[in-house]
Amino acid sequence: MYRYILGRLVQSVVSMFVVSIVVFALVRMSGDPIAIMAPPEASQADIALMRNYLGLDRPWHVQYANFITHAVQGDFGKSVRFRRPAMDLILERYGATLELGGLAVLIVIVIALPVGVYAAVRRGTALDYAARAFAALGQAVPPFWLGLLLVLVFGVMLRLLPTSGRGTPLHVLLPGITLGWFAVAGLMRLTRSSMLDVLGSEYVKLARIKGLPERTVIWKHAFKNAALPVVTFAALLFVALLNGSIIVETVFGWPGLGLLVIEAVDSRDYPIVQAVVMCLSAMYIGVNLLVDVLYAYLNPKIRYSA
Amino acid sequence: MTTATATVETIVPRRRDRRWPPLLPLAIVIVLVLCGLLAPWLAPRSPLEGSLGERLAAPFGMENSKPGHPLGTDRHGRDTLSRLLYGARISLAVSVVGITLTGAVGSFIGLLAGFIGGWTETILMRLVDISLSLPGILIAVLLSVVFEPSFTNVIIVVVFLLWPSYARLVRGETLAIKQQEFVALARVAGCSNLTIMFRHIVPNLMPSILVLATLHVGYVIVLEAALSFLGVGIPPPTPSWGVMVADGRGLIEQAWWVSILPGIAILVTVLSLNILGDWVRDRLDPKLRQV
Repeated sequence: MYRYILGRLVQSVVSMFVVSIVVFALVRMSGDPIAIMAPPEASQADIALMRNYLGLDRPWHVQYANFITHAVQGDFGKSVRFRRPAMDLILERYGATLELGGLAVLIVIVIALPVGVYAAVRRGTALDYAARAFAALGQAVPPFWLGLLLVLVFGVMLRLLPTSGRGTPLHVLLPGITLGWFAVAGLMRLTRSSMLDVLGSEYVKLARIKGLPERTVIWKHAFKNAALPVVTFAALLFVALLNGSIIVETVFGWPGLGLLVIEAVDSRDYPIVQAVVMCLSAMYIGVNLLVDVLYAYLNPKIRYSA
Repeated sequence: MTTATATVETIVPRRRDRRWPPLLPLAIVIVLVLCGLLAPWLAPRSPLEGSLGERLAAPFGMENSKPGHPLGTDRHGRDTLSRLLYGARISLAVSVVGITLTGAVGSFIGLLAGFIGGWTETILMRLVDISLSLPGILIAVLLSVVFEPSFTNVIIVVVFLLWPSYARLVRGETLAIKQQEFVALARVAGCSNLTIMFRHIVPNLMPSILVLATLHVGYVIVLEAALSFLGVGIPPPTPSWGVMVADGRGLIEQAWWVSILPGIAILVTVLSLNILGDWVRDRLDPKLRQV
């Protein structure tokens, strides 16, 4: 178990290292930052001084070491557009992304788990077909387009909900639904097939023969075991939410990290892009690690084979 | 994505006859491929040039529609139908080029890992793990900042995101095939490693690779559209469906058709492709249900 965790930990650190190299290399490849920063009337001597001041005349591995030591301390330099430290902007914005993600997770759990379980229990009924049709549709709908459709229906046609920005609890509703939608479809499918597996097993039959109430059989006996693959899905869910939040925040003008990075791309604000990519990657890799460890804990097969 | 998928479903015989492909999705995909290939001849107008006098015309049957624009126009007066047809071409190109390249790269790496084994295998498979743990869309965002958004960027992102699944699949299959007698016989007959790999093993890998590729087409189309929508994929004014949805974003109140119609195109295409992909998998390689 410890060996397994240690192995995964090392792998996560390597992944983070690769991300940092990619971020560093791509930004360096994008051209001379001096060309952007220096005023046009700057002399050769000024430019050389600036280059020296910023450390750009040193070999690249020294520059990388410099970048990474600052990065681990949360220092990614100042935003070109806002003239403030990139990290401050991230801390300001991540609450909004968390709020959006939280609602999406809530929607996913409240809808996908019960519907998936009952679709499996009532296999072949109208409910099952409806759930499967919804899942198939859900995985084909592009999230950015669904967002616009919701804006059209609830914002423009019915005039029920606000369609952009953040403020009242109503504001979070449309972006939250859009973000949750895609994951609902996936988790519902997974819960259903996992439940079908378990419901066919001997011990569930035994529980029924024993005369336990159906509710106890389904939730206490079957669902507990069916939940194992669902844990793995947590990592995928996080990926979906992370990718989705960039898209959904752009559609709804939701002031979170996703919108921050897309705006930074538009204005070529490298420090912000670097900072957001590094922070989100760290979160992403961290959650993956957590899920793997949790899964190993829950599933002895992995625990002892590694 | 799933670890314990429906074994029950494989035990219980299906009621539907699975020998024939689902016809409606197949027809839709064929029509779309034809649209993409024949766009220059089918499209009534130019996809890039509009007339400003015909801006934001509504689709036919609505008030404010203009003759010659059955699906309306966007804010530059460009014909939506023509742009949709050319958009099919972009989706087609991205999925064909992207998946062919990914399949080739990923499968080759998987083949090397499975065939050679030892350190090569360990290193390549670690690379797969690492690649899987990197957030793809962020890499795409970063790429687009450094290089201008382009078709090539989209392809790089597709390859980057999907190669690990081919490598994993092909490695596993290669390990199994390597154990079989005909490989040993080929070796006895004096075949070189290269001949064994490409003449004897690769043909046996093809069904699985094809299934995986089919299952990926829908995903790649949505990915391209999403990247283009965010402005980090295919650059405007090229009529990618994602670009078109983005074009209509600010116009949703006056001209919903500009972004809703391309979205429907994506939805119908991807739904059909997914249904077809499931069918191909069930026909060729049902054990891939787990992938």
